[in-house]
Amino acid sequence: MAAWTVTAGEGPGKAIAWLAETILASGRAEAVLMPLELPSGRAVVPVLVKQADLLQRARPLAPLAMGNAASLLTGVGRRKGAGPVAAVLRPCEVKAAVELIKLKQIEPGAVVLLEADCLGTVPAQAYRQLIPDWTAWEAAIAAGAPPLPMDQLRPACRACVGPSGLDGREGNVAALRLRVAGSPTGTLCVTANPAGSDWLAGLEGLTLTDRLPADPFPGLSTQRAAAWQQQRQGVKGLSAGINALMDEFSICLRCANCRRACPICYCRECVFDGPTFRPEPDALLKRAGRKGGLVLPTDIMLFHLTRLNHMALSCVGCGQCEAACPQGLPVATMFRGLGEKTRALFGYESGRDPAEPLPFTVFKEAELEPR
Amino acid sequence: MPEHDPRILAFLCNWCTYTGADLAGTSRLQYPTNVRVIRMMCSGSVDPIYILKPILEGMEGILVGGCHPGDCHYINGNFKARRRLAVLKALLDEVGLDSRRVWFRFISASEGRLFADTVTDMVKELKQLGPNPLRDQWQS
Repeated sequence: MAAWTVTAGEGPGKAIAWLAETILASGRAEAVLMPLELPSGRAVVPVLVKQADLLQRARPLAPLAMGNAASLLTGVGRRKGAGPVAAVLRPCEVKAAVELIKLKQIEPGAVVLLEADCLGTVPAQAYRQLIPDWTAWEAAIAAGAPPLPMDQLRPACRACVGPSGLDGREGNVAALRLRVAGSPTGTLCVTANPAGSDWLAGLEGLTLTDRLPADPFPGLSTQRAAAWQQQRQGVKGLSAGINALMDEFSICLRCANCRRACPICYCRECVFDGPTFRPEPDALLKRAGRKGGLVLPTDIMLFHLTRLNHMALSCVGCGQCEAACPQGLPVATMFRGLGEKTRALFGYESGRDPAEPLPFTVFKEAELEPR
Repeated sequence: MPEHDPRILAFLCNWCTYTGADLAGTSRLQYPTNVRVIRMMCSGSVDPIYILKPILEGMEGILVGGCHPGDCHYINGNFKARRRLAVLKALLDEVGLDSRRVWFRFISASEGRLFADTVTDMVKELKQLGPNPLRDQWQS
């Protein structure tokens, strides 16, 4: 695995901006999807950057993800046979992009995935009060000091399985990994997979290195595993049966924000928006008559269970569904919990490898017995 | 108290299990009348939502019948159904709906006896499981 250090720019954030700028200038990418700080300074949002000077505002290490940026790539990433767009993403976004490639929503050649370190994000409302001093912030990440206490992070981030450098994964899924945390030089270390290495070959200003970042936060993965166990046990109904779960979900508004926020839920027309779930008046009255009454809107549990059934295998645990829920329902925890169980049936891991087939598209002649 | 009488919804593949059920009938085999059959073109075309919905509405059991491995009229629909059903059953267990209510069986067109026995066994097990907790629940 090839690795380089980048010393250009002051601090790791600027080094990532420099890399993006150089990639744009060299024509390796037609545009760069990069988190930029808005002029107000109150939010950092993904921007499709064509003009290099905008990259002055790049904040790739900001603790804010108002959505999973992988779903944004289904727009620009649908092109065939044109120069790629480079996308600076978090680990959960890279994994979601890999799933979307398998689901044929992103052309593998149309995007180059650059995975930046992420130490967790905070809710958007909290970010507005945060507005950190960027120099200190990035220095803390490089030094391996998690800059925010756990309880300020979004629940999914508290229990995140894949902060870069901690997941024990050999090699990159993304073409490049932009590693800051625990960097031996205090700046940016870029590691590449073979495709990323070819793509980057000959770029000026990079220094080859064999010093890779060490596990920057010993103990953090244990802490996160414990947080996950706690979250999972906290979902009422998972252990207490369907009635308890229905109680929990009785406050669901059926707004389907969870579905919109999910990067993997890609159908252009959802079954729940189709004619089956817009029944004839007589059918509704008949259903109401059968049990004496019918909760409106109908089929709240069916909606959630069907979504679980559709998406759990590919769930990457980004937690955006839960962040989007106005009622604070533990949807992300349910998805991740079921995802772990069902993936184990097939030895599958979401976001691991774009060449790995989705479990529902293949089969083995002898498996899953007894039925 | 009257004995609990479970209801079973069966999705049977047109080419194998449905014909097997037909054979059970024409052979005058006796089996419980608790089963309501829906003929599908393939067990692979049973969308899990067809199973989730009746379970949430209070149906006690769902039987999905397909061809034996290698016999699928559409080459591999039964293998795909097996994967889908495995995930669905994990989901049912996860949310506290008993996955033992969902049976997936390979029954060929010549196995009328096996179909009758399967329904008999399933009714027996569902009686032990008791009524679906959502049977009289209007809240779901």
